[in-house]
Amino acid sequence: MSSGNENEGENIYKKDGYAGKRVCLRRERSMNQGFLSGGKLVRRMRSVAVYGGIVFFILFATIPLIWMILTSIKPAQEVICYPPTIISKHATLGSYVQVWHTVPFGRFILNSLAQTVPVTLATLFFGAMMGYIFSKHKFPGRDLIFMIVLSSLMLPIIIRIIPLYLMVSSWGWIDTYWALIIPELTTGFAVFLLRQFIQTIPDELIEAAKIDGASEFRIFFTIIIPLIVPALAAMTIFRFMYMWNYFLWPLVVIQNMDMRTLPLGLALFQGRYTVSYQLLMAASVISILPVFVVFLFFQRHFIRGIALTGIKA
Amino acid sequence: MRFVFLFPGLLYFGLFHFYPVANSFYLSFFQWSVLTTRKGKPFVGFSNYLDILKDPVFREVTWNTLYFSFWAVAGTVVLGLVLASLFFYVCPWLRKVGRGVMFVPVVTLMVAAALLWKWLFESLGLINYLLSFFGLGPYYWLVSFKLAMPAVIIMTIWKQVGFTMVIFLTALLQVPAQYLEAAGIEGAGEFQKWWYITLPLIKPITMLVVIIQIIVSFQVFIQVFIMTGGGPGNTTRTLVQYIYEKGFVYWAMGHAAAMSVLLFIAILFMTLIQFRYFGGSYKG
Repeated sequence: MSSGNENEGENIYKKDGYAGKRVCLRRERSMNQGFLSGGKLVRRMRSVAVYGGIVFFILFATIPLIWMILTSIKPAQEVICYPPTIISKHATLGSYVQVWHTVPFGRFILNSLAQTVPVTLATLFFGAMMGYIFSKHKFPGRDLIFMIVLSSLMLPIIIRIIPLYLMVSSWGWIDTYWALIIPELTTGFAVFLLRQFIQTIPDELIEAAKIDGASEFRIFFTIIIPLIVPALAAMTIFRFMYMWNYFLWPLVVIQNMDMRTLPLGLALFQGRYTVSYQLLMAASVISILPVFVVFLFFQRHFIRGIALTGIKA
Repeated sequence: MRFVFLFPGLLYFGLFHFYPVANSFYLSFFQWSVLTTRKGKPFVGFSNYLDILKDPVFREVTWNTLYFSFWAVAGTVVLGLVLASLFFYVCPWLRKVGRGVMFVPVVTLMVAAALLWKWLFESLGLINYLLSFFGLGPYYWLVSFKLAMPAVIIMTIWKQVGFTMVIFLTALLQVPAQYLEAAGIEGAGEFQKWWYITLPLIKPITMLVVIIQIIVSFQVFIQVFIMTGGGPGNTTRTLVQYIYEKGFVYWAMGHAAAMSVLLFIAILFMTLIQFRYFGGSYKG
């Protein structure tokens, strides 16, 4: 808290002498106290530290991803050079072509889509349906049943994985899409989130539709669903990202190379070609790209989704 | 009618969530593997649990998981909070860009991120190259008993910090500006305002983030599976990985079931703390 700084403020105040100015100056001065106060040198050092910190973290977040791209366009013999070249003089997209030939990469992507899309749709559908009943219908034991459904949030896959595996394998579902899709039909979180949203829809709207003779199905599809689109959008993003990343369960139920989903294919890829980092990085870039494009366009929704739902990926 | 709506969902939760958990409890009392027939598995009482508690590897993986969780949660929460505060109060004009940039690792595929960091931590990788400018290294990160776990933790913080940061940014938005202004007029400095007003006001959301991050960290798997495979030795082997290996590599399903029951109890415990803190107002 240098006196020099304060005097500066006083002087300007004396010169101008406006009452309004005074408040402004006081506020400005108090803002500058504390963390960013002190002598000029100290203050400058602190702001260097603050901006340095911000720059450091922005680099920390971006450099690895930039390195991923830079590695993926290097020719194989250059990748293992040390010291590494930053930007290859012989940059090539060869790895991006080679990836599709070394493993059934297209098949991995198709498998991932075949899992992610139905699961996301089912999550929304069942979540909205249960959320609707739990918020707009009254019957004994409703809240208890809801709490039980909600408690499924405490049961991550690892806790259920052994009995679930035995069940699914006894049905002959190993290496099938059934095993990838059916055990993930919806989540307690979707039911919870959509219930919260449907609760804000006024009962009168539903009553009016009932008086007009609309069936439950009609009410659900023409009134409820259109009104919860923002929540459905947020849920879609969460579920899609979660399933696009889903790893442990597919690892257990998929053995056949052709049935592997993208994360699984990517992970087991490395066991076979340990040194080919340019290939691995090219495959990684391809796997990130769809989510990244969606993120660029819907950044607002991603962020709002998190804000909206509290927390939970 | 409502039962037509409710029934498929309830059937699903019953069959794929509650029945398997109950079954995990049940199976944990039998000695068996997939290869033995259903009739051929003898009831062994608590001996699976006793085996596990005596198993030095189990103790090691539990310790690793706790160690990982502590540092990963501390790192993501503290850095997320500090970054959010910097972007919010110190340079708000950077807020949107910063938020976008920090969030990119969050949307990266976890397996891809783990592969990327494995490459960065290679002895001839970028990190050792950058450290060499400071006269440090080379370090053999992922094969070193001392550095393997820190490497996994650094990678996890990189992946998660944008997520906690976004949550804290929304929490900071909800701090009433009048409070801060009033404190400013009373002569509080920026840091004092942050420490004495902002932090207490966002304490509930911070607790929530901490608990949820702990529950997520208990289940760490992909990073270690890809980056180190649990090694060197068992230094980075985690609980979930050990359950997976016991169950599906060694087919010791009784032991695996018993361990998953113990993990369930830990998660239940954390959830109860969460409920105590937040009552019924928030159920995550």
